[in-house]
Amino acid sequence: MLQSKSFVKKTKQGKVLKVVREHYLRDDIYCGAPFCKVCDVAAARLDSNASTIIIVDTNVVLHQIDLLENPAVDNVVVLSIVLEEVKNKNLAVYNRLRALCSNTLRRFFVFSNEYHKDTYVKIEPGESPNDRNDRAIRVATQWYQHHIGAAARVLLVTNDRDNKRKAIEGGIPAETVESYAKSLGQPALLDLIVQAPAEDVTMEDAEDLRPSKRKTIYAEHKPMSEITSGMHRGIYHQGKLRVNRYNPFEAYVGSESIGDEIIIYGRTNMNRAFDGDIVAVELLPQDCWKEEKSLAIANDEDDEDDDVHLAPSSADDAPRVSHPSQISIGNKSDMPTRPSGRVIGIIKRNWHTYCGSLEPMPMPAGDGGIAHALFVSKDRRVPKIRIQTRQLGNLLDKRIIVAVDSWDRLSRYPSGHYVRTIGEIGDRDTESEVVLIENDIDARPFSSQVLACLPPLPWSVSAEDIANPIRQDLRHIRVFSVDPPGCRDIDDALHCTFLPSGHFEVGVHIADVTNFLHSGTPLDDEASQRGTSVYLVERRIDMLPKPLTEDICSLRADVERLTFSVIWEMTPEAEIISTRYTKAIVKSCAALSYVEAQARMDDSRMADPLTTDLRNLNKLAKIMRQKRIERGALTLASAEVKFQIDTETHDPLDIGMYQIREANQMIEEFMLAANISVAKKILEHFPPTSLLRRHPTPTNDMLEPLIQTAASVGLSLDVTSSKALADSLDRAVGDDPFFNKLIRILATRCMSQAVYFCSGDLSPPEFYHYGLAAPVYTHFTSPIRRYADVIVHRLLAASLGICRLPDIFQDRPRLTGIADNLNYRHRNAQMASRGSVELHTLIYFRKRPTYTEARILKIRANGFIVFVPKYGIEGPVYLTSRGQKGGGEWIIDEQQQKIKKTNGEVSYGVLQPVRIHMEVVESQPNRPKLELTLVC
Amino acid sequence: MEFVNPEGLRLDGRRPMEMRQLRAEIGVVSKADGSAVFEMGNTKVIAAVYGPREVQNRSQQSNDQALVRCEYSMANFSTGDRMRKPKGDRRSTEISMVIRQTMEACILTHLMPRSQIDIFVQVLQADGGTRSACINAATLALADAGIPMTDIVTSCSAGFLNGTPLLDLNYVEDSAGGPDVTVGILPKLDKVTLLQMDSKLQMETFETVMQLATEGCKAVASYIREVLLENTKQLESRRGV
Amino acid sequence: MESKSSMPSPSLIDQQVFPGDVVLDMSKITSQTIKLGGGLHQDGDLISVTKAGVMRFSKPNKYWVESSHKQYVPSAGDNVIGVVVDARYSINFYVMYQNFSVDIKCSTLAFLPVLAFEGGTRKSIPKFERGTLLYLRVVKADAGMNPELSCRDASGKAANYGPLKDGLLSSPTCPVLESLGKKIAFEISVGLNGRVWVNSSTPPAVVLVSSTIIQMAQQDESLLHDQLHIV
Repeated sequence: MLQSKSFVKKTKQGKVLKVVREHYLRDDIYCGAPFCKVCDVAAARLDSNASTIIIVDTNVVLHQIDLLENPAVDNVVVLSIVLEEVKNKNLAVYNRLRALCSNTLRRFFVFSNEYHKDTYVKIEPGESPNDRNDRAIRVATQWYQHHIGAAARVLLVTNDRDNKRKAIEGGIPAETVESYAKSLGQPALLDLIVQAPAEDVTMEDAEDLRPSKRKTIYAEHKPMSEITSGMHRGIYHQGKLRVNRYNPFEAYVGSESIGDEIIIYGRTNMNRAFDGDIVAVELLPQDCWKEEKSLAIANDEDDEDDDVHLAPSSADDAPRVSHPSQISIGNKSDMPTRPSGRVIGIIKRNWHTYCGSLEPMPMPAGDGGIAHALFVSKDRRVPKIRIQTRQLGNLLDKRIIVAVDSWDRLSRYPSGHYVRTIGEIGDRDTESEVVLIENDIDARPFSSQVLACLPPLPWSVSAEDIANPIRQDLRHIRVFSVDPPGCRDIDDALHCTFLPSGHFEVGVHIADVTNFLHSGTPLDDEASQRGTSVYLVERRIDMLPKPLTEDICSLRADVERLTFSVIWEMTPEAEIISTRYTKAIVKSCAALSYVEAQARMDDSRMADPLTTDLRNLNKLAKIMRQKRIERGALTLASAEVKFQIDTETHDPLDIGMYQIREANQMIEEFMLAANISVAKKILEHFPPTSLLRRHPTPTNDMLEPLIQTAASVGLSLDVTSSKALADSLDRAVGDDPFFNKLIRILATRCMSQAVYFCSGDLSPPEFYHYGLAAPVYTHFTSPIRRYADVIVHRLLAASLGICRLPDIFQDRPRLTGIADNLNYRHRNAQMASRGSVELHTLIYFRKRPTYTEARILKIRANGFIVFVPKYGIEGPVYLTSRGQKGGGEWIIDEQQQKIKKTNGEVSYGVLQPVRIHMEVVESQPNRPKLELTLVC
Repeated sequence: MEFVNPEGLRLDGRRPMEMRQLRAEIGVVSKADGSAVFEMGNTKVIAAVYGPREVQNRSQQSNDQALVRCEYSMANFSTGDRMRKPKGDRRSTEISMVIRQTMEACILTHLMPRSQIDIFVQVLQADGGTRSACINAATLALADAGIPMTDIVTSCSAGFLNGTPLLDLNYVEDSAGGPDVTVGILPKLDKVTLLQMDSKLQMETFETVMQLATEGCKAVASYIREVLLENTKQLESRRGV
Repeated sequence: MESKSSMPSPSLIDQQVFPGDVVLDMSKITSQTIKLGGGLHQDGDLISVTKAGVMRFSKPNKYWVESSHKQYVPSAGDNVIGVVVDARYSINFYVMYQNFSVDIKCSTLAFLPVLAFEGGTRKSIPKFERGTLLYLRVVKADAGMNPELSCRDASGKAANYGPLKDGLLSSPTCPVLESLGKKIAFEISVGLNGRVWVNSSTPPAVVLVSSTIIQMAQQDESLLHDQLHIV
């Protein structure tokens, strides 16, 4: 193998450093064409009778990836220089391109031109890196031309005029993307093409339909050099822009240099930044910092308004409302405290594709021509996007996916292009898919490689399993499971035996998923990607294929199943005397539902062994729960709702709050105990590489809304510790029974969510789980539906010496990556569930206008926000119509959080019940929404 | 970070099982009894051997074997950021000891009692794998000095990144923080004289990685033989035989 | 090192060998006694090479590896050139100082007993300075001991041994001194330890002769003869 050497020298900025790297050029890099006589064709990817081989340049990949993903485009050679440039510029596009290259159905071949001895080009003196790369692309194209000869046509696709000109001068056939797409003869492809951004188009070329709009709307972005120097001097601040989910005209930039969040009001100040972009922000002078109250419920030039939505369950979901400065303690000055600023430059874009629909518009004359349309994303944080389409008629009543291409200073909206259609607006399936796509959930069926990893069906416990010395035979023990009704994926079961010593032996048996899910298999990769099962109202998207989820791993009644068990010996006072972990075989004697279990326990006539076990467990659980609460664990509550779904039409039939029984709490208690025991065990054995779960202690800032709300009803909460908070929550008993729960719900939503992490990344004090008041915690009990539990199972098995630890545990960055992915997936799954519930709520109320009772959560300048406990939803009630200033017949005191009628008849305060009317209205075609109105 | 791309090429264009280019030269320090320069890609090491000679510190003299001493140092200009490195820091003391022990294992010290052999190794340019390069350079210098050895020692490193065993890590790969196995072997006797590893590795993986490093050592050995052969030829012709 | 053996594989004779190569397996051969020279090492039944060089064989039974190394291995009877390193001596009190220490380019310093001169008596001990050059004979060279030198030949005469005055010390090996001597008159002492001492009437002549010798030692064989003509 030829190894010749040349040097690539780089000078890094900041510290001037000469880096010398070796660069070996090879002669064993093949062209990838199966008809090639010279090259090794084993790895060839191109079509054997390809007539044209396309080579694309970097900008084509960066901008036209949607076109490349269309199956019409094939036989593409991707040069390694292109890959490298794309990777540096946009990692998301890079990943998509990589996926294309590894997709066996597509004919994309990666040619490592940078390492090929004939196609490597050295940078010439005075040549810019870009020019050098363009030249490298041309040289590689030329090489292909000579190498393939007459067997196929080689075509360079580039939108760079200069590059194209030079290519044609050098005798290389080159075309622009448009002319290439036209040559394919599919008009739909043209919609996928991204229009060249305005910077590249000279003003004469840009034929604008509305010249009046051609005025500068946004301030220019500062050049990168200025941003960098500005940040050095401390006048600019860098951070990720997060747009308020409930008010798209308000965004936050968390800046480390300030140590506080900078608020950015309005699209002008946001200056074309999208949610998730890394931006540079300049602070506005302090007298421009706005007061909170003037914000009220959003009202900008666009007619956007608050939607009715599901009540948030944690601080991560909740709208970020901050305290008016008057109330905040210790703030004497009249000046608002929160700095506000404006975006002066975007460091890194976070553009991806968005789901939504086109804004209704009349069909332009001359059907079939190019029409400009405005796209409204489902995600309210995203501004409207202007697209061009040739199929307007088709798309108007569809949910479509659109990608953003550019946003120049002259246009109010960013421009983008159509990617694909999902389905009809309002259709339940379409809307469900939108929920999935928005939350990046992979609902595709499992691939055949994944399914090939499953054990052959029908599966049953084999003689080897029984003979296996690591597996304890617990089939003689009375094991049972308690789950929600209709649960198919039963991953936990319990037993409780009274020992002669007067103690109890309590076992938690968890499905032994890792017995079937081996590290490094496609099945494992898939599961680790999915991270969790997703529960929608009408369906469940499994993390593992159905045979595993519902049969092989599910601890159903009267079948022998493999488990991983935690077995304690406990005193009747629920003191754990010893803990034992083992793989086992169990045979569940009953799969009870919570209702059934509760009924058995409550029915004093029943005295069968199973019921006795249940009662013993319940007794123990109550003691454990009490201890936990004494330790400072919080009893939190959330407004979970439950639908009854029509089995035929899948439409919701009834809706109501999820009822929590003693039996639920009993099971929960033992699962918590098992998780804590396992967390201790794995942390002891693998201090740097355990996967744990922590719940960060909420900061006072986060609890501020709760304290305020409580204060306005004359309640003082002590939030100094979780114990103090738990106690004061217990004391918060109002005049009506629901009051305490409401306060708990409010407390819950102030806290951030618990997250997975790799124990090596944090110091032990940070492992603390605030909500459970546990120093260490992990997830062990649901391996069927959570990948974190799978990892913990492997760790536990390794700590017992049952099996060896898979390689990933050697690689801490990878484990951290997995933990991050799990958090991301977990969060998305929750968002998707919420999205699905919201969708079904809408469907449910479409035909059922209802009167119900609601609670006031917060009073705003033009209305108030209510929480409807029965349906778990939250939304605004407007007292004034839009545009009208003042409260009309109402006097609204935002500071005191009180509303009074002008005639003084009725007055409302926070947390007080009100009666409201709920109805679905369609103010715009195809845009149904739930409207709440006050009933007096 | 991606150290092996899906096309199977490493950052510098090598495949996982490939070594960097080797180059060696014997007799570069005329004053020394034996000397050599050894290059593995951009890693360049010079070694000089003095001895066997009178033991300098009588108290260290041993009556049944030679005293082997080794001094490792890194030239200030050997890395990109030019830094004055204190002599005798922990790292160089450790590497000195490693080289000394490795070389002691192959030198027939009992043939040269009451004498000492000094090995000076200096890294002229560092790009990963300095330990291996030092040992290879020292072997050549010892052979040049005509010090009796049971076998030549050769060394090579291998690592494990992106789930792939990689031979002969360069600086970028080395600083990825993955496991790095340095192996030194006596190729003729098929014995291991040096085995070091940073970080942790699964037992099975470790074996494949070590196997790979051993293969690398053998490749280095055959190159060193070639160099010695060329050197012997030259000496022969000089002698006018 | 002697052991019974027959012929080694003849293929290895005059071939290049490397440390670690096994050249003989004595378990496979019987009869005959063989003598092993430098660069060979017996390890059990195996004879292996310890230095890179060329395997040599001399009838009937001598084997050695001819290699280049910059060190001299002293052997009794060799004539060498040494440099006085320590010229202090004392006969009366300290045993240590009964010898001059002389560097003869071997691994250890060699001892020159203060009385090892022609007619050497306590009273006739010569005075040397550090750095004095001596032409010497190795008397004893045992492993584990410093070699012992003498300035007398076997019969006790001074012969040509003794200090070398003036001149230039260099360390080449050269087979062409004769032809050189035809042109220029010079005095030369060649030690087996690789040192050559040259002296002549004028300093330029010394420089000329010694640089010629050094140059030639570095040339290839073929060039050697041409060079001679030029000189």
